[in-house]
Amino acid sequence: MLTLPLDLLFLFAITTPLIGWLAQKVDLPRLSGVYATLGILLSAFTAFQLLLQTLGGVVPPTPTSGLFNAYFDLDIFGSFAMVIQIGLGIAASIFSIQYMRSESGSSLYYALLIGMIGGMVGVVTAADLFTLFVFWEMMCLTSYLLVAFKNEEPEPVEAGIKYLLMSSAGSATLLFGISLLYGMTGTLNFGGLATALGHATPGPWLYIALLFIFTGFGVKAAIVPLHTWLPDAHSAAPSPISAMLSGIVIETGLLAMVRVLFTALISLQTYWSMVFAVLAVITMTLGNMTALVQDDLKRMLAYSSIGHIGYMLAGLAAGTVVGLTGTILHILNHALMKGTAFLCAGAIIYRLGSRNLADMSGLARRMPKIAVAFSIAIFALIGLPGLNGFVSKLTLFVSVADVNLAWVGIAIILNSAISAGYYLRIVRVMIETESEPSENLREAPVSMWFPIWILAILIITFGIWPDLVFNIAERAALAILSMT
Amino acid sequence: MLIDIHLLAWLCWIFPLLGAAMAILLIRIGRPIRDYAVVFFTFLGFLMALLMLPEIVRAESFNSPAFWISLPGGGSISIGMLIDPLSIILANIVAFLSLAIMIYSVKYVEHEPGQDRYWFFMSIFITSMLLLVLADNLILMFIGWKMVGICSYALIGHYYSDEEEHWLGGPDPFPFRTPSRAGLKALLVTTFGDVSLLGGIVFLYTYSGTLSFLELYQTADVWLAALATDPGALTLLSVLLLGGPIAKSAQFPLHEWLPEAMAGPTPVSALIHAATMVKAGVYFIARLIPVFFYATWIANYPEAFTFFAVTAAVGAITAFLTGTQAMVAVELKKVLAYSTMSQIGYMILGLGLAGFTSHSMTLGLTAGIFHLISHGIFKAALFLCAGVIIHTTGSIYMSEMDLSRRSMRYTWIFMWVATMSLMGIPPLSGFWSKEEILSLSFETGQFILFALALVTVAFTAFYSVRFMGKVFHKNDEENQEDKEASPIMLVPYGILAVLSVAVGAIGPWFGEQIEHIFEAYFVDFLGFEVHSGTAGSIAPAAQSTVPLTLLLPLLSLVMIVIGALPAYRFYVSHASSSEALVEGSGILQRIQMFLRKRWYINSSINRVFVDGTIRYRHLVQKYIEDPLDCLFNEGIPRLFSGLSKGLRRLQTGLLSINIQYILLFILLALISIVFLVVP
Repeated sequence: MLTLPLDLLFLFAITTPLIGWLAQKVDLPRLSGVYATLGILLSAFTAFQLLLQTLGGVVPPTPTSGLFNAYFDLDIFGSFAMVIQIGLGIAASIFSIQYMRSESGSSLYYALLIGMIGGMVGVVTAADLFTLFVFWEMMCLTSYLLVAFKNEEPEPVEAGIKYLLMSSAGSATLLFGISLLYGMTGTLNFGGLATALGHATPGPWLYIALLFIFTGFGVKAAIVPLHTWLPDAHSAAPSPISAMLSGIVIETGLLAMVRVLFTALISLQTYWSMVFAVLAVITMTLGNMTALVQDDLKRMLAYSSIGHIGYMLAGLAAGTVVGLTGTILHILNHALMKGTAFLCAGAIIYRLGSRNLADMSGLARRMPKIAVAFSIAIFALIGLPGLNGFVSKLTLFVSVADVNLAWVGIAIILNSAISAGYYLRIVRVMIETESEPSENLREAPVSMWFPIWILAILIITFGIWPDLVFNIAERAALAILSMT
Repeated sequence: MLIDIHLLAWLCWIFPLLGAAMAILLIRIGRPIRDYAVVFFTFLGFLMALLMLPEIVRAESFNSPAFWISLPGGGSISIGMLIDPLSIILANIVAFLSLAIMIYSVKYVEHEPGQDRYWFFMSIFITSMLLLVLADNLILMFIGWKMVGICSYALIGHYYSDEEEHWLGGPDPFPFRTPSRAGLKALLVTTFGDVSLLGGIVFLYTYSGTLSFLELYQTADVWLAALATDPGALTLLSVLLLGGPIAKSAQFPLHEWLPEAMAGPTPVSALIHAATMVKAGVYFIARLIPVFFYATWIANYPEAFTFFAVTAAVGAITAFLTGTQAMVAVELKKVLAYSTMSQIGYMILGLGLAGFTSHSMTLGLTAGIFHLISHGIFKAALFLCAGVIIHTTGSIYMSEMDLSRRSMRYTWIFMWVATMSLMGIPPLSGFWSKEEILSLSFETGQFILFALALVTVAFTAFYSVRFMGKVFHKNDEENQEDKEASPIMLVPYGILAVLSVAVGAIGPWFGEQIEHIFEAYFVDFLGFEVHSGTAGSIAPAAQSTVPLTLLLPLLSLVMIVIGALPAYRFYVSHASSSEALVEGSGILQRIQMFLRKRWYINSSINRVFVDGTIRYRHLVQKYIEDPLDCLFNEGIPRLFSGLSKGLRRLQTGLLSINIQYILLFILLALISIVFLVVP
């Protein structure tokens, strides 16, 4: 009907509540989780097939006639992003099986999770702005609900409402920007926009369209000063959802922005690359600085996500192949690193029942598997050589240095140094020997450490063998640049 | 060829790596199984090396770059294996000696503490040593180079809890040293050289643009020309690159770490500090020789000769210097350590001589590598014997050793065979390889170096007979209950002793084969050709070597007798007493003290670097450390936490304010568009 992974996701999103209802009858609380995980796995497999096809030069079949004619366009960029999104979804879903076991209505949770993944997949594979916007809203709506899923507590509900209101404001501005583009060109198809606006002299209305589209996506991507919803939402959400939000949802904002920027708004590149350079530095600095004083583990990680969004923006500011490669690679790497980090935080919270960093002292002795994986993710987030974060940060640094934005590169390095200040604090707390670790702590169940370790192993693999993904990221960047 | 040679090269070092994993993973199953599993993986590594051996006759190089790390901006680092005669020879030596010593270790460490650590680090060491010799580029080689250093540090400090029984040095008035200190010293001194080597690699890269050995060979004319245009660059490169080998191979002036490295278990000393790791420097110099030879003799950059001059001088001085120290050492393993340095000095001398004339490249390479092979075999055997002896007597001092020749007959025989090979008694392997170095130094007309090398022959003979006499020939009464070593320990050094006889039996042919292969590889295949017109000054001398071929061995035999005879009278036949002789003469006493104090080199280095540092620490602390400490540990954190707290106020958490940020952003951007773009 649409594309195969998306079809599968829809199918499982609809059927999971049914399975959940059945599971309640036969008293198998984990059934819906397992079912949903299987669905995501199946979808990931097809997505991977699609990626291989596009890499091989074959354009996979998308609906060319009927109701959904030309609504989707599968290129390397879209299929690579899709694999990241669904792949992280697998980890989050496996993790949730145990984590959300005691929650009521967990089948609803999985339906929403699959829906959110489906929304993201739609956003990166859409061929026109309207399809993009529809899936964008699908992703947003499901994520509001997921943030506020533990609705018996005040904090998630408050965070959810805040997220809902701010993100809706963003969506409204985005829609306004899209309508301006439509008014100017009469088309919303990316190819059409590129031909209509790509080589024309920009008029003032295009600047205003840029502003609104940028603001709309920027709220979701948590670019300072549009980021204020993020720390609340990411820390209040269930941990697997935080992993998804930090790992890929906010990055999907950037991915969507990339699509529009390099087609409809390419003629303004000299203008927006300067704006992005400034915003990149502000975003990374503010994110890392604020993370320094946090005592709440998840809040600290949430702020660090803002910092990493800043690094990714730097690649967009460069706007070259290297820059885009860096951004796409960092999106993949950040999904792995922050996914691992948030899932580890989730496993710790699951055992400890507290998000306070001070309560976690000495946990490495009780939860060695989690502590080691967490440390790997943290070292990768700092950007230590040998782990994947280093490769993408280096690529980003080189890309900005190439286009005479060396000050952004220096900001990346300084920020990495500052960020070590709070990242390493987590490691230090975990391996502390002065006080006895809390009695509640013991090793996380296998369904929790297994997905964490899969991600951690990928962090190491892509760190010592970056060319496994580097070339794909580079070709994805070329696919974007060849759209005009 | 059944298996792809590229695959062999990879597996060769991957198998020991798996062995290292087994060392940890199989603990729960049981110690004997684990021990044999580790040895088995070492054996597999050796098998892979052995299977590569037939390729040596093709005298070609196979480069197997496996994967690349592309650097953004175009550059790349390959990680690959280089299979050429030099690396195959080295890989075989390393893998074979590792296997012998690992088998021996099964029994040796049976009752030692920290066996898991021992097996793990030994396997990692073998892995990294093979990686070092098989690496196809400087970076990968440097990784192996550092890893062997770290393993060496860990294994020297194996008895890191520093019980008194593991102390080294003494007896009074000489200071005792603990194993942990010895390990640290080894790490520090070799790191000093490593930094220099890394500097050299980076310096080289700025000119050559490549780090792959083969590409360095192939583009030698281009980058050497670029280097030669900058005065001093070639000298600087030579010195920087040589720093690493000099420290790693324990050559003067960075040699003082090796005697104390004997604090580790004896198989460690045998494998790392005698047979393999300390040869890494020899290997690296051999790798570089074609390039510098090309620069000196074909491209005619006289500056490149520095490389050979420094190498040869360092080798000869070390051979002589440490040979004298070996004559007075009181600990068995230290005698062997000094002897190792002295013999490596010979190898380095041989390699250095490769560049002294326009046609001596392959001769020098052959001499150095041949001596490396024969020394690896007999010195490993000697160390393994020493391990048994120290175990049996429970003492590190030769004065407290008194073993029965009858009940330990095999050990006695094997050790004598290895010792005679060390002395250079024909027709054992040591004789042929040493003879090549001596004759090369004579033929190239370097008579000072020749004299140093020749005198060292006498020293070698003296200390060899001395330690054998002190260990086995103290008295003739056979009243001891010493037991022969268990077969699992006896067989490895037995094989090594037999091998040094076997190599000796075919010595001239063996040396010739190596020479042919190097000739075919470096000259014919890689094309480091020699212009026939620029024949060196000693070409006539080389032609008239018919009497020389007889004269030189005769001369060295005389030197052996000169050295061995007094030692025999003092220590074997007890016809006269060395103590009485020394006590009777003030000069001899002073010389003995001078040598025992290691020529005061160790104490001078200590005084300058260690005491010097301690003396200036207050000044450094007051004017450098404290201000920096204040800045970095107080100033910067205070600045950032202040900023951080300020920024935190922006994050009010109030929805109405947060929404206003969006509005504010849009408004500001609109204003900027209106004012900046519209006009």
